[in-house]
Amino acid sequence: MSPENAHALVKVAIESKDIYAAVAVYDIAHGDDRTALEAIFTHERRHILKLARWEHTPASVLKALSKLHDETVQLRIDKNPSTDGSTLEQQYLEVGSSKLIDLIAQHGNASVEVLLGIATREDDVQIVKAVCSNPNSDDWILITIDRRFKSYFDREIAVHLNAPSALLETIYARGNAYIKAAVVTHKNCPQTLLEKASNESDLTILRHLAGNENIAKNALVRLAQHTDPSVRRVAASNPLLCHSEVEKLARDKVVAVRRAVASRSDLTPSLLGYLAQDSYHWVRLWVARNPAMPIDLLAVLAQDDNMEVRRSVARNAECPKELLKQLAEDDVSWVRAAVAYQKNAAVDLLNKLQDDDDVDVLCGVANNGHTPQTVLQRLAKSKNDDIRRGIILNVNASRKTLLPLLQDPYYLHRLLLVGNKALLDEDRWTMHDDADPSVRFIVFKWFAKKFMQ
Amino acid sequence: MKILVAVKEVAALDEDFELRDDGRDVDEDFLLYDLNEWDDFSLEEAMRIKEESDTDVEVVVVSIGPDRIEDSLRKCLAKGADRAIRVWDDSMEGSDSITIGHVLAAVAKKESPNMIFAGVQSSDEANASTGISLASKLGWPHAAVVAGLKYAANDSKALISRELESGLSQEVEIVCPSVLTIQLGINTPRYASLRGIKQAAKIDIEELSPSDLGLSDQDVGLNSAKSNIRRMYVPVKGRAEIIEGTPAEKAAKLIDIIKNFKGE
Amino acid sequence: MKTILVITEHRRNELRPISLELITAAQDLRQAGDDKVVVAVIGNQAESYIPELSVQGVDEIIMIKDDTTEFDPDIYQATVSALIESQQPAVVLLPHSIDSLGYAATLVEKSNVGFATDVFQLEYDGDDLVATRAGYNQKVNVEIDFPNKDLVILTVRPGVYKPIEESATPVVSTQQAVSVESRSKNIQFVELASDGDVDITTSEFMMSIGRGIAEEDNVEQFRELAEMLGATLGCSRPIADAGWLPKSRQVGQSGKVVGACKLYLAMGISGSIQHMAGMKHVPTIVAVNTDPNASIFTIAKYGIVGDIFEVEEELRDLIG
Repeated sequence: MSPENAHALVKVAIESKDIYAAVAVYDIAHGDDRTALEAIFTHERRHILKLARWEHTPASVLKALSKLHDETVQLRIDKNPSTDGSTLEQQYLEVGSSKLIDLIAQHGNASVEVLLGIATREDDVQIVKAVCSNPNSDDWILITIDRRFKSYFDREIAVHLNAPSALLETIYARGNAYIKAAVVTHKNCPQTLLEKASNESDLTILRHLAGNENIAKNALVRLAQHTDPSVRRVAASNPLLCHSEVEKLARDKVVAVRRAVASRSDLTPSLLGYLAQDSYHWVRLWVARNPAMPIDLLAVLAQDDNMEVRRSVARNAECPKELLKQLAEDDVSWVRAAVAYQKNAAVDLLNKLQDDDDVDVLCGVANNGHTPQTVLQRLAKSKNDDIRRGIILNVNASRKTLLPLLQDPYYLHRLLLVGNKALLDEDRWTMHDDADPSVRFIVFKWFAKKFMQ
Repeated sequence: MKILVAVKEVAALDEDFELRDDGRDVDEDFLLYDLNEWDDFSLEEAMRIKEESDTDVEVVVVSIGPDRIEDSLRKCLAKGADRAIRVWDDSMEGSDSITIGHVLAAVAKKESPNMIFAGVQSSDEANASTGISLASKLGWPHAAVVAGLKYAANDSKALISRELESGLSQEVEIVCPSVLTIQLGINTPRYASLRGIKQAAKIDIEELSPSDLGLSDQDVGLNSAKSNIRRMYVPVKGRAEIIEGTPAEKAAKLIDIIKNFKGE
Repeated sequence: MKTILVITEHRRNELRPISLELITAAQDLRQAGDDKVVVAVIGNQAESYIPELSVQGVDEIIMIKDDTTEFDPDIYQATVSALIESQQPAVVLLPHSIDSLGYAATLVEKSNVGFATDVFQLEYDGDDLVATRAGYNQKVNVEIDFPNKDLVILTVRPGVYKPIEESATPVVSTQQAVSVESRSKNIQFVELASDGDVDITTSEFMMSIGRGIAEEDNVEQFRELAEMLGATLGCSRPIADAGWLPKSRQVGQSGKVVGACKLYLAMGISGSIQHMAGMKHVPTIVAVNTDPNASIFTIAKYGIVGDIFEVEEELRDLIG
């Protein structure tokens, strides 16, 4: 029987003396229980070191470990993506070694306050650069750094999402072509700069400018007509480009340009038809995936010599049932696999594909939400790991189908099953003393989360 | 018919570790132990031969090391090995790959297998010499870095393919019994079933000491070592060298790395 | 005076580059002016390699002409053992290569022989020869010496020493081949396509994609990029599980180990334990990821913190 409440769960974890169970329930434990759990996971230094690094260690446990004041442990905690902002702040205020500050400056959970503190006080180039590259840094931090260090961090600021327009203008004015190119890609790049940039001759700048979605339409047209193919290619992928230019680029002599056109989502049926006849298979492949592709043209592409093109037809969200039926007979298994994974695949088609001998096809059948449970139950006995995992990942697999897989030899499969909604708590609990530590952890974690709500 | 599979429990190391006070090894608290990656493949190759054979094939795993290595031996038993042998006493501390090869040879003489597999190398020390040292002591035919094997139980010859440098492979016919060092990727190693894990927990691991094998203190440990560790240190480049710059600059450097690799 | 013996390697009528690198390494072992670097070449076409091996720093070349064209572990073991007897070298340098790994450990039975493999630095500290190799999967360097050994046999890591280009005219001598019964026989060499779309277990250059690619539509551009770069495309488990790429391309514990890979571009792969199990041994890993703390950076040689789509776009333009 699975534990009925948080207290019972914590008791099981304490009795097990298992560090993985202990860290999983730490969040829901109180008072003496918490102390008892800490005693388990801090008993040996090798465990502390392991947990400080481990990807699943909860933030609360990392916080507890940070209070042990072990320098190498701190280092590992500050690198752990799960460490929360308050632990980082605490470390910043208490420790202050430059190695740790560098790690805090890089950390995705570092708060704006801490980052600003670092940006204001630190002189170490590496550390300031980390602040500049941290997505949490706001415009004020970037302005502060610019004031303190002049142009030194222009590269980092030019690509930072929170860089304000005025700062971008300053950086553009003093930057080289690479920096200018980075500025014109920025979403905050002001119109005036975009205009200025369109008069540049450097290809790197123009190429980047051609991808900017705030660019003036006529400037984009000029870029779409540029002599350099890489500039035209980027312009061809810009959603802003007007239809008449797109049509011209669809006839470009450079395949990379036509490919870029083919990957647009706004192509008209007539243009799709034109591109479907392109000699370059990457172009046909892109239009074959396009849901707006007229059915008759899709049928032609379904007969393409290139198997990747046929596969794209089978992966097309609007691919009609008749074509899927035809492609399910394809000589190439990777095409049949696309049918097996198709959301539109009918039950009779899946029933037929279950007898295929190719692993990718069978994985698709195992994965497909329309596959009948009887078929899934048969496939669950497969010796192939990938096929069994397909069933575990199947959103419609029933409890009866999944139960035998609780004994799966591959620990990752058992781990994935813990969170499966089709299973009952008692099913999950059978894995609480699993041979694999990460499975034990996930089971205890799952129950801890349940009792927290 | 018997196949002997020599395995090793290796130590992995995460970044941010400390050296021992004498500076000649890493502080033990930082070592994470597991069965050597290569050994999963050599055990699987033995299991494949066992399962494809009409006659009885016994798969025996052997490893040298202290108590803790039982975990790795049990892992092999859980995957289907019939027996496990562990050789150790304290005089063996500090044995190098050549000595380990010689001790394994003594075990092989006792067990008289028809074939011996070892991993190409261990992931921690990567000496790549234990298997060949074992073959040398036995005087058996041997081949290193076997990435493909055609051999059935009791065959007098095996057809192997050795993975060479620069995308070349060599097919070689070798007289059996022989010692083969097995390369990663030769097969798809299985996972131990939960039932296998439970059963393995009940099997007794056979324990031998060097004297049981007719070896003296002089034959093992630091006494027989071919080299001596002066000091260990962390190379300057530990973590990845971060390529800096704007996206265009980063890509330019990446292209340089690729071109350099291709020799352009 | 001492002798440093270098054992060269060749395959399919070509000298392997490591042979010349060993000659450079041997120069670091010269102490006295009369120390000798002796280079041995074994095989029925031994003389054809003489011009290439005649570089400065070589005092003598010994040809051992036997009946075989290609490497054979039994013949090399017997021949090199005989050479050691006749030359009485203080140090023998062998390539740390697939072939030499097949017999190096057979040469060190005697107790007065020192031995180390995959060394990449050599020097004398007084009278003590000190070699450096890596440990714990390249995480540490280990300095080792060889107390009380009369002969030290070392295998040297390829690609560390630069070949000497200046030619010279060393003494060339011939030594009798040793008669030995070989127990293995070369059947044939098989070329595996060295780049482009091949089996991921035999590819030397791979580009793998992970969760970072976000949508199935994005797979195509990376497949195209891999084709342009001449890389084999691989992926992490979630990509194959979604049916976006075939299972045969999956790298890692659930998939395959990329045993032959030398350069691995990990695009948008965070580096789960399962994935790293399949590629962490690759000597040059380049990781591109938006998260500077992604585990993949702990095993990568080069890291790019950034958006994989940006990098993909830029690469495309640079290849043209």
